[in-house]
Amino acid sequence: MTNSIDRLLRDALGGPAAGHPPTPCPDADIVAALADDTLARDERSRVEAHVIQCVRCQAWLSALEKTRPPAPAHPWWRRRGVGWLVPVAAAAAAVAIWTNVARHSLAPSAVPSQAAHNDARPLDTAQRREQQQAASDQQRSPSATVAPAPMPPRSAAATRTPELPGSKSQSDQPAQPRALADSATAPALSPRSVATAAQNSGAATLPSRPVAMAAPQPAAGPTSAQRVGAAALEGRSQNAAPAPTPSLAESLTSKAGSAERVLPRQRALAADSLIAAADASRRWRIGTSGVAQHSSDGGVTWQSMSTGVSVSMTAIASPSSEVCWLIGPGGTVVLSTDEGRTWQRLAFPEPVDLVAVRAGDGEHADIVTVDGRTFRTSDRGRTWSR
Amino acid sequence: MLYRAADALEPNGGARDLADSLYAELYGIKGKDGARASLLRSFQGRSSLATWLRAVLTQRYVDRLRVQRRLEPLPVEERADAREPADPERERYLSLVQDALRCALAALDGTDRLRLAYYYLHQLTLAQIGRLLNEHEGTASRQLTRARQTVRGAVERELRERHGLTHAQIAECLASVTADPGPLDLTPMLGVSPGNPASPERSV
Repeated sequence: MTNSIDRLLRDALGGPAAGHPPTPCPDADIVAALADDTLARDERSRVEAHVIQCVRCQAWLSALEKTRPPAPAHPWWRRRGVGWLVPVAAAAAAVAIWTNVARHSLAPSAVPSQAAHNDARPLDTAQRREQQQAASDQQRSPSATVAPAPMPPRSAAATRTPELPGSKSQSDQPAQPRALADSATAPALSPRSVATAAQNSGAATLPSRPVAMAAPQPAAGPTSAQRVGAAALEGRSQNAAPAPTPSLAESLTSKAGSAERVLPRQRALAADSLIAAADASRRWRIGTSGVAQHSSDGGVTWQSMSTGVSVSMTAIASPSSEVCWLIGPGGTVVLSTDEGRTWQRLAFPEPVDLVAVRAGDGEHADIVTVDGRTFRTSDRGRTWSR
Repeated sequence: MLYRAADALEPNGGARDLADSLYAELYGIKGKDGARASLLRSFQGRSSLATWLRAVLTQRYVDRLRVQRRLEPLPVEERADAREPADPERERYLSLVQDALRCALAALDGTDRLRLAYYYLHQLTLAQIGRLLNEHEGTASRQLTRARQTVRGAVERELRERHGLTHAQIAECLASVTADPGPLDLTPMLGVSPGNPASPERSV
């Protein structure tokens, strides 16, 4: 009687037909497949229906389950409860990559990077001071060389923007002399500031006339190369700046090499925002596909004129209101000395991409190639020297 | 692997002889015609070989246990005069609970009954029950709790409606039956506190 409850439970849980199920017991293959969960759904249902009524099969499955070897320990990231970290981490990585790649490949000119901003901040103050000085000079003398008039919104933003990737590459050279770094940064800030800086230095190669130079600005690679080219021009024209050291030359070459991998679209974007101004009212800027645009009213209205070439220009220089130099890829040099009415394509010694130009007048110009070399002409492009 | 499975069945090594004989059959036993036939020829590949070997081993182990139990003599009933004087109501209560419990388990869903059998009769853990029934361990626990509550409610309803017991009598009846739970504990199944301070062996 003591074990009657146990016997009762055993009998009751085993069912009335314990030991005599209506269907035959499955063989070892089926039971093993049931334990491995490799049975089809309907077959599994049939086997489970049998097991419900068969104490022997219940005991068999129970013993089989008790002999199951312990599962190997999973690494922590495969445990229950942390599996959600995998897609979340993947999504975060994708967003981070997308954000960084998008920022570096399609950097808008109106959004300067912090590094570029830091580089340009001291120059902004000097630039503002120079502009104020130029404005006061112009008030005193109508033949002032630097235009104090406000720039059109787009060009103002472009020239105000201390542009992006090039500044980052410059920030990678902390050992450079400060003056050289400034000379490399200045052209990217504003053509006016470049002109003023050249005048203030008083040592330009062609100082007799006001110098206006447009440095390429936004986007990634070409901007860097163009700025390097402009920096090279500035370093030549300013006696105060130290001569480039061999390490600097190497860095120029490496930067120019990286510029060769630039997308043509970015190059077009960079060239599209360039403006050269000889005085306050007459300005030049680069259009698309070899088109130059001229404004006689301080940038309020622009007139497009074809230069005869179909490539997208990369830099522009206008030392006077009548003269405009345009350069582009493949050794393209175009010159107009009659305020854009006629354009002359000049022969360049090599079919190399050109990234920066400085011109003194319609005869003299210095042009920097994408690999950092500088070519000079003093006879309107008939002969070039390095 | 066979020895590990045998030791899991009987830690004292009592099932190793089954593993040895199985190993011999896997190697192949010569028949009357002298040809050696291996047990592996019956492996159909519906599971892993290791699981199949464990299945064969446990099948033989269970069959041997059933044969042994069938041959065991029934325990000798203690003499009535040697026992302590029993509660006169206990026999009646026990009979009532037997009937009610049998009806409650019979009315239970087959899977619930299988779950209870795995837990109370075969002493499997919740994780093992979950693996056998292809469900999560938490699901097995919840379903087991629900089945236990269903059984308890059915037993109480049976005692109340069919046998006319009051709430107090039902409580006294269940306490009397579960006071001596034996190797299989009825306390968690019935959801009542045992009369003695002994803790139940299994709890859900």
